[in-house]
Amino acid sequence: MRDVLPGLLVALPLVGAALVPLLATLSARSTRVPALALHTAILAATLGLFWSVAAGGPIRYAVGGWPGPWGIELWLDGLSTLIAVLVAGMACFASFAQTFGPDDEQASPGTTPLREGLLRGTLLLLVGGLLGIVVTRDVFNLFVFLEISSLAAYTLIASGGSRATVAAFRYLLAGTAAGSLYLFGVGFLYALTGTLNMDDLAARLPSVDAGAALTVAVVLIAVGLSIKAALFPLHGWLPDTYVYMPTPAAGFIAAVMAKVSAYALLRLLGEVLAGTAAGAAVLEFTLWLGVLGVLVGGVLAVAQRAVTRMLAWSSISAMGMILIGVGMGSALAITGALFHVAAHALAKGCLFFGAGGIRSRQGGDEIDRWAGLGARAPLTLAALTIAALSMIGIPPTAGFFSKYYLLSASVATGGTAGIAAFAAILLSSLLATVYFLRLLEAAWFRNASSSPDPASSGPLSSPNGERAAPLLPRSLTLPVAGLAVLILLTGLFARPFERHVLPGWEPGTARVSSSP
Amino acid sequence: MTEIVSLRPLLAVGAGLTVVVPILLSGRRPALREGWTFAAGAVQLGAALSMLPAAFAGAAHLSPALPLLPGMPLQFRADPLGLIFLTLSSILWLATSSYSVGYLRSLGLKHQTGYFAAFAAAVAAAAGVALAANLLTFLICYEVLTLATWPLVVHKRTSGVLGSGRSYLAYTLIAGQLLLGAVVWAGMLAPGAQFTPGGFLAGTASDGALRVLFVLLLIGVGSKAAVFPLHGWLPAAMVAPTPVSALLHAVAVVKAGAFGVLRLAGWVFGPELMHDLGLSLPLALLAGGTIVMASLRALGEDHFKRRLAYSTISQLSYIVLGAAIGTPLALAGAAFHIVAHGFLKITLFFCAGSVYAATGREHISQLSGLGRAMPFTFAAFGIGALGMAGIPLLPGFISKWNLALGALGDDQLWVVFLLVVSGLLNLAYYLPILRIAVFEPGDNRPAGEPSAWLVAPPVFAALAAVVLGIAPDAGARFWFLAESAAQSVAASAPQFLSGLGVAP
Repeated sequence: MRDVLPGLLVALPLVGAALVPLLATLSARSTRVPALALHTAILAATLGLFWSVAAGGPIRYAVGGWPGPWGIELWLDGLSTLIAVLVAGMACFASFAQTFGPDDEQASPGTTPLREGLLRGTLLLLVGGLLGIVVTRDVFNLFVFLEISSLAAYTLIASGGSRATVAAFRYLLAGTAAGSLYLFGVGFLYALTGTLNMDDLAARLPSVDAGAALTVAVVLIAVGLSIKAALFPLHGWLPDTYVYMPTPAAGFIAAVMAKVSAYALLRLLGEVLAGTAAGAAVLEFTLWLGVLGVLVGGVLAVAQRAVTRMLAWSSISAMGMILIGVGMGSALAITGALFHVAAHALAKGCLFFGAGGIRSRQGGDEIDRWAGLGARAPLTLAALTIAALSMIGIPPTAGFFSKYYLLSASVATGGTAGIAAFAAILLSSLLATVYFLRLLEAAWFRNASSSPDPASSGPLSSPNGERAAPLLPRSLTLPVAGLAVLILLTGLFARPFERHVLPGWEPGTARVSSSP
Repeated sequence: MTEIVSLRPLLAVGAGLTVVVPILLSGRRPALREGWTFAAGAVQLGAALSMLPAAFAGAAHLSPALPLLPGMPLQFRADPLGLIFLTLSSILWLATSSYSVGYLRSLGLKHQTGYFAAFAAAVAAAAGVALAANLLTFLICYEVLTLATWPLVVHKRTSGVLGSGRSYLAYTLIAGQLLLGAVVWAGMLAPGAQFTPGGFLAGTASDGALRVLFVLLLIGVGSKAAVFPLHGWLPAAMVAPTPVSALLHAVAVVKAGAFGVLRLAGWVFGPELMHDLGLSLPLALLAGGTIVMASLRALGEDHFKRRLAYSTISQLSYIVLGAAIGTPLALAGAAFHIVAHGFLKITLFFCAGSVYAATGREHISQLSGLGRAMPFTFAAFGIGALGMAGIPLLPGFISKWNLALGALGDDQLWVVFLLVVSGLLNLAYYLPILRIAVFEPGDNRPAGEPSAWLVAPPVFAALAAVVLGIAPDAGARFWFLAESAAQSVAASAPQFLSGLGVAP
């Protein structure tokens, strides 16, 4: 299994991405089941690899049988398999929403089978690109996968209607700049060391003259990846993108995409370039930017009146939180950062699926539109409440424990940076309290009659006393409920999760240990 | 202290939690729904009583640990202090539940299902606060308590009420974040952060750092205890239905805050460390200031429930004061005051609620003539009021007497003076209520006692208070528990407390 699965992990989604649209030209219905089945198979493969790595140590896989440093290698350890499972799992939920759901209200009414098939194929392409970033051991190959995932993301985002197209174009500009900067950085590294393989790089860098060229390379790589990770102040593309894209894509992209770039940042700065002085300096700088991002994202989230836009700013805050952990770099901090990656992916996915569905059902995205929803759909709102409480960090949800680890790490780090991180994390929880409890208050304790425009709220407010349609379409109910259950389970089993699921991290050598 | 690993602490905490979902599901059948509440109350009380004999024998039930964080499990321990709070809240939960049934039905309030569900969750969280064995467990239960009480506070759902709810959350959740930070920090200083009689933080960090930590923890627990200047939410929260106010004051939120201050002073820092850091006197002064200021505010308040709210702010600072003084007698008095104030204040709130349910009147100036129309209710009120003022033969006297003795043991004469002044102020703001109700002629509107659901609970609570005042060691032996809790703290610091007797 260890000999085949790593290659399959990347090949499966990429081949599927080509086949699914082909199938779509033949039949309207035939792409539903194959796409979902492919996603399930990919998830099964990542889970198999996760288990295999946990039991038997990391896997090195030479693509095409060409060993490194000349060939491209894939590298699977506890860290990469964890992120891969997250990506594949969220993709399954997104694919479920995409497969069984009526599209968003922004989707053009002229949906054709071919268009649907193309979107399903694009989601597979995006998954393939992200999984490629996660498992590759080659810095140039990482760039290729970065571009594959970006192109797929632009397409998915632009499918949300005219405003989404503008947002997608803006993201395209930022993403292209990010990719170019990263590529320049890789070019510098290649010129300095003559290699693109990460292990080879790490081995050769100490003997390289640590001059300005190396510093430039590190900074270019860090800036490029920070744009993709929406690290403040390079976050400008994020809010519009998250708000206007169609709901199934939003649940997936908001949950994992920026985090995969943060993973790449951790992999390169924390592991491959860890030995360099520039790498250490950039990491320290990352911490401070994370602190700023946490606060700015939180404050601007409070200022929003639209729910999805509020969620988008909250994502910027959360990315800052993750990068605080990456910047601190201790074992405890990385545990906290990875815990937060998982907790935030689950909660934000849940909230975007829910908020997107409610937006199309209620005909608007303002917080007021949530008034009275608790009485109408108590179970759905209970699930969204769990996700919101996890975002705030209320025990015993997953978000509480990720914050606890990050706070512990900042106490252990000490000094100005530690105190700043500590204060920023507490403050961001407070800000999250403000913006999420406002939403929960509307949903549970305010009456629907105060809803500004009942006429536009679609089939639910049909005056002739018919049985109201459910708040969320079936295609979104399962992702929302499933993610809420996962949030609770991760919180209640936080200690086993930390011990058996999160990978160990050895600071100093900054090497991900072989088995969790 | 020997420890018995058993599931009883989990049963006490879990009883309320497990009935939340059944209550929500039986919304269409009120009898069944209330049945769940009473069943859970009975189970919780039974679990509490079953753990008492071990405490009398100097042992404690300890639940199995659920690992949550490295070295910090979710764990509950039934030590004497925790048992005081747990037993009290179990008894009063049952009383409040029967009162709630009468109150909600006679006023025809909406959202009754959500009300009883949130009530059960809040009491379960309070039980968790009582039995928490370490800071992490305490924090978790504390946060759950905050959120479970929110739907109760905003029960009326009007925009003004929602505003009060926001104010409540603003105070308690900001404090909750500071508490989280402090718990993380304490957990780094002393792995496990397990509550230990006499404290566990001595020598773990520099004096300055420990002082900052103390302030963070104090704000964390003190905002729920409504210690000045963190008391602003409490009068605002009086928009809640009366049984909720009764719960907030006597059992759950405010009491949990005062309990938290006691835990902080006796089991996290310890009296000795607090003295060494120079924290005892400032805390005592803060408590003293709160006592006087809240009493003065109560004097000028005409709204019945808000006057009771200011009285709570004042009375619970007795507990903070005892925690600050830290001598065994003062700690025992403070711990006993949890019980004394619980029975007395719930009586007073029940009476205020009965008046509202029977007549719709909310202000003290409107009470004239009601004393004769509602004799049982106002008899109970009289007992509660006198007990609050510290009249002998009522439990408030026992706690104040021991607080005063404990303060004298520490050469703090001003505390005795303060207690006397506060007792007079109590009389000054409670007796006029009785005077108006009993002696002023009423208008001609007929009014009588409301239903038995509303009369029995205050009469029961008042009678219980009388029994407790005459025989503080009867039944659940609250005084014995308070004393052994205080002694366990004192035993850890012999030189500091040498030469002090601990006889009541």
